Amino acid sequence: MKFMPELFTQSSARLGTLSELERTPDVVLETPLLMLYTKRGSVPHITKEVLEMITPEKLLLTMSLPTTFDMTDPVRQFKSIADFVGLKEYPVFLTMEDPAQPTVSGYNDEDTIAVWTRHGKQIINADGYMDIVEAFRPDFYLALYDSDTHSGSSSKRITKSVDRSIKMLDKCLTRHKASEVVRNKGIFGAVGGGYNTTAREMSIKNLEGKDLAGYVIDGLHNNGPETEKIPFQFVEDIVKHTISLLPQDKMRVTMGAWNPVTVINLIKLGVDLFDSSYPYLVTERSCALTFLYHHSETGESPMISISEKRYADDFTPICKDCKCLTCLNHTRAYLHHLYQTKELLGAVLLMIHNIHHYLEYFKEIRNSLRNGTFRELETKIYVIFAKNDSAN
Amino acid sequence: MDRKQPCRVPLTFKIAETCSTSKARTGLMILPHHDVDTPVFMPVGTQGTLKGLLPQQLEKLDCQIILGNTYHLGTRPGTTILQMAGGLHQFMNWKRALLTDSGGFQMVSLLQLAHITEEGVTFRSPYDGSECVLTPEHSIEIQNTIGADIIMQLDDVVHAKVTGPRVEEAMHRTTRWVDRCLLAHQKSDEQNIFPIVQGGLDPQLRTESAKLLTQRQVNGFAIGGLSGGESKNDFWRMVHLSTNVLPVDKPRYLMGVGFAVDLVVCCALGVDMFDCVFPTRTARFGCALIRTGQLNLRQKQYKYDTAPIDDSCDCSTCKNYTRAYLHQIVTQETVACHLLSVHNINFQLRLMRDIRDSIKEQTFPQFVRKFMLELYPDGEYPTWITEALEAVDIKLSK
Ligand SMILES: [Zn+2]
Ligand SMILES: [Zn+2]
Repeated sequence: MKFMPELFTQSSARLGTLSELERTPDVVLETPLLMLYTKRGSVPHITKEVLEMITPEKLLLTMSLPTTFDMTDPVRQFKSIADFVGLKEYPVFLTMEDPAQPTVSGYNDEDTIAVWTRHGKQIINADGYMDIVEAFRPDFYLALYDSDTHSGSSSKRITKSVDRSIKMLDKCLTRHKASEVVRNKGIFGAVGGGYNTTAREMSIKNLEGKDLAGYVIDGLHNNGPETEKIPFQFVEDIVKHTISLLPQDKMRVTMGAWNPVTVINLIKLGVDLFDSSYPYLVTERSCALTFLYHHSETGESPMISISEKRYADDFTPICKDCKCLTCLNHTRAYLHHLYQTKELLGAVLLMIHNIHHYLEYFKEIRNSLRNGTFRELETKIYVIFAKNDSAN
Repeated sequence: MDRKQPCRVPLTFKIAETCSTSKARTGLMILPHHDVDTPVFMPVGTQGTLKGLLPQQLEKLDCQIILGNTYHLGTRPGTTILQMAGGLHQFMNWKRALLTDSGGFQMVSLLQLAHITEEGVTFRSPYDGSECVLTPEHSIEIQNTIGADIIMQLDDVVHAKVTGPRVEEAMHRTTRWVDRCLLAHQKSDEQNIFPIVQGGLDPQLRTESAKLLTQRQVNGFAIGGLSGGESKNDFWRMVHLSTNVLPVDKPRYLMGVGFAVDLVVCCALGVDMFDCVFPTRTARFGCALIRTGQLNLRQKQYKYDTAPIDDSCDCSTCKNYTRAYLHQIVTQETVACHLLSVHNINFQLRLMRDIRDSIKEQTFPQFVRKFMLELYPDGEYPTWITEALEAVDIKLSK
């Protein structure tokens, strides 16, 4: 595994490349990167055949423990979880929480973590977790830790979480280094500490000198659609402070369904990896993102809700400038009909468009960093969303 | 054929080969939007979409024609929207051939208060409770707006188990209605009306129905009123009898039939077109079709099964996914439904391709024997299959 950040002088934002993964050596990914959100091993609504139509790139897939926990035993018969779910050409990042689903709070213990699966609560410790990791053989994974903190957590609870987490990390690292099958994979450490600066510093101090592929800046939210509503200002100081203490040569991840304004700002602070739970949640609300092809003169909102009656006889695509499979082939009227009739193709077509849209957004962000036009893009995105409080 | 030129005859049927033993035949049906190899299975896309599959995926499966339901489409999105869109092809962006039913059968089966008079199918609107009538003229008007390559006459549907004068009345009414449909038809250079052979399970009535309809100026025929719960013994006899009367040089469409074994038997009896919701409906419940029956992937036995659904299948599902993974996501993720729909549709289309190839190579009887032995390895064939095939000189091996 190789991560090469190129640093930028004007802001903390950086471009980088991720390559030389053990299992998928041909994959080269550019950061800031949008990882593809999966649920039970699949991009929701999207089969491999359709995924390949959305993009030929073999993007990094995020898989979360709650939605894959039940698969552990059968996965052992396969080379990796990627092989098991039929996406073996794609690299995988195993995370502990489902970013699209609010995390149930209050069940973690001294050295165990509660994982909420389809069949209820499962309790695992670091050893149990590493057994799963050895079965899954993800290309990247997050060391087990206590993530049960958020903006409202008491400092006592936060300190406890930081203490527990370092013990779990050490156990995971010991197993990691000794394991034939995962020692060449990338292990990430979670930076916890909620919104408490001291606890953050403690957490980072604990991670210092450990052999990690990168850091997940966690404890900023409790997952699910609520994450979209978090304004950048709310997380700015703590993320900025956290990143200032992290080494430059390691990847930084913030999981969750951040809105596009917060995303571009987090990139400005130096975050490298995000997941696509946001376009997924937008799809589940029968909405289509339009902010990237926004024409300010028409006063359009950054997304449209295809359920609205006014689209029943609108024979234009979601975005006339969008080159996705949905926009090239289908109209808003057809999408509205599929919504009305609750047909499965509706979510498929919206997901194709929304993923494409968000991938294009990240491409544009990378281009703007390359061309020195990041500030213009940032302003454009800010203006579009400032007019519309709905998504911000 | 240049499709930009409006073709004066919207259907040309060319038989390439006829089985020298049975009544099976293979050919090409040239329609305004696409050429269709027969015998053909048509997947059902009731509401202008086929169970989560993109038109591009259907094309990749080499699906040449799909079916839409007039009752559903007339309700949602409705004819105004379809008219504005320029027809269903445009609306759903399906570039190949389409067939629509008349809407009558759907009404009678879906709406409890529907009943039939000489005027048409009378029903209470499920929306405002007002009394409405679907006349033969109205059905054709809607189907003209939808714009399918093949459209169906409105027929007087009688449940398969009904006997007595009602069956005769329905048969004659169906014949009167086809004339009203043909008269109302506004696009006879772009769309083909198929009349529907009725007559219940009465050989005389069915023969008479087929004879009467054959006198009409049409490009193909449907065989209706079957696959509604009648015995298999009656079923195959009615199909056999219908194809005996219907002209050899026009396509014959057996409505609502699509189980693999029925497809094989009815091809032997000389049927060219089939449709059925079963392959896609069963996919939703986690069932995958294979030559020896079907797999219910919800069952525990597949948890550790690293095989694809069918290792001889060339679909994208079987190439990439295992039974073990499908077991984890069936009825949980829509992806599972899409994956099984792809496989099940490919299963049906591949079966039809195999049937066509065997007819072309004059090996159809051997194909039938092999198919049946695979399905009934002990050689204990149901009597109706043995009898139906013997009626067209195919003897099954023990
Ligand atoms: Zn698009
Ligand atoms: Zn298959």
